Amino acid sequence: MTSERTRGDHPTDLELAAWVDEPAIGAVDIPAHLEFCAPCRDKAAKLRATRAAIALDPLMPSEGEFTAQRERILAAIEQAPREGGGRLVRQIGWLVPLAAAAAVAAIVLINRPHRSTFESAPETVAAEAEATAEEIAAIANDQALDAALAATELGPPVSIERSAAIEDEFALLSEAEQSAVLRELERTDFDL
Amino acid sequence: MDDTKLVELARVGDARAYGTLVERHQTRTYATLRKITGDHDLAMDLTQDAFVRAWRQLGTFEGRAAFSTWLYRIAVRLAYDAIARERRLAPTGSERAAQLDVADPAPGPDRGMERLADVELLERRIAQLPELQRAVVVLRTYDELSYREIAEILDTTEASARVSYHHAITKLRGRYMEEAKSE
Repeated sequence: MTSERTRGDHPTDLELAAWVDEPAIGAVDIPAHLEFCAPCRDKAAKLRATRAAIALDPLMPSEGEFTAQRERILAAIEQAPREGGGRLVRQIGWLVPLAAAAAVAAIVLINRPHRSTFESAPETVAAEAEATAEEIAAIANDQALDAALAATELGPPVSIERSAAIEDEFALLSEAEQSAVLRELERTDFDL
Repeated sequence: MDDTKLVELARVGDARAYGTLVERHQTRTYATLRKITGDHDLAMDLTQDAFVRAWRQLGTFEGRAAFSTWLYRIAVRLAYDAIARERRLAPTGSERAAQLDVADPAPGPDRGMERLADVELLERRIAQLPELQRAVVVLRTYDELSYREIAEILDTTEASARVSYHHAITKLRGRYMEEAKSE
């Protein structure tokens, strides 16, 4: 294997990146190859330099900014309710249909007829509907993932504000659309 | 006092203990978020949000992972959300490329400014990577975490984290090193 590599079988960029990252477990024949291959040596040097540049500290704010931020955090947590396991389970209980409803609402919004054709060009209406639907879907997806993560203790808590946003969007649907969503919910076995 | 003790105190409502945890992890959390998002103001907001969310969720934290790992998971998740929101609002394709070109700082005669420009250029290039790759490359290279820890934070496998890192660093070498040289 070593002899094949040294005859000019260059490592791929990914192999080289793996070796620079973890020399101990990277391809064992790369050091021998680098001894005679200048282009690969150059690539490896650039990979190391890029890695070193990323490791530099970014432009850091002043200590005063961090102190002010700490004060804001401590002020905020005094107002922030703590969430225990029991309450979380209850939250997930209502969150599942809510997320599903929002996802279905997004589909309804994308597919519904354009009622404001006279006011706006069809493509504008379609684009707006799609943007709204994407927003709802993103919120729903976010909520569902948050809940799933929270259930495994590693995730952030559910945002009540965003739940309210989903409900607001749902309320904007026509009665027929809301009914369609509810029917879909009954039919669908929504699984996080 | 170590993090475990501080977390125990914070779990029963000790805000001072939590303040110590904030002080201990705040700078690193900001720096990681800054590298993932490429945006100072956003990174500051997300850092604050991450600590407030962690406080609210502390009752469900059982200590199976280190506090810092748990906190990073929250922070990175918030960054993903912010990136997704930004992507929905941001211009695409050539518009974005044109904006980046305009925003690129011109190389100056001062060595320090060149260095600053390089750092900013690299931050922008990282910000153009796909979400998983940018998070992995920052957590691996800046935070020096193991692939096991990265996989835990990003809810992925070690193999996936490895491959994402290799792809990311290869792309950055191609883009950042060549462009930095030509500027």
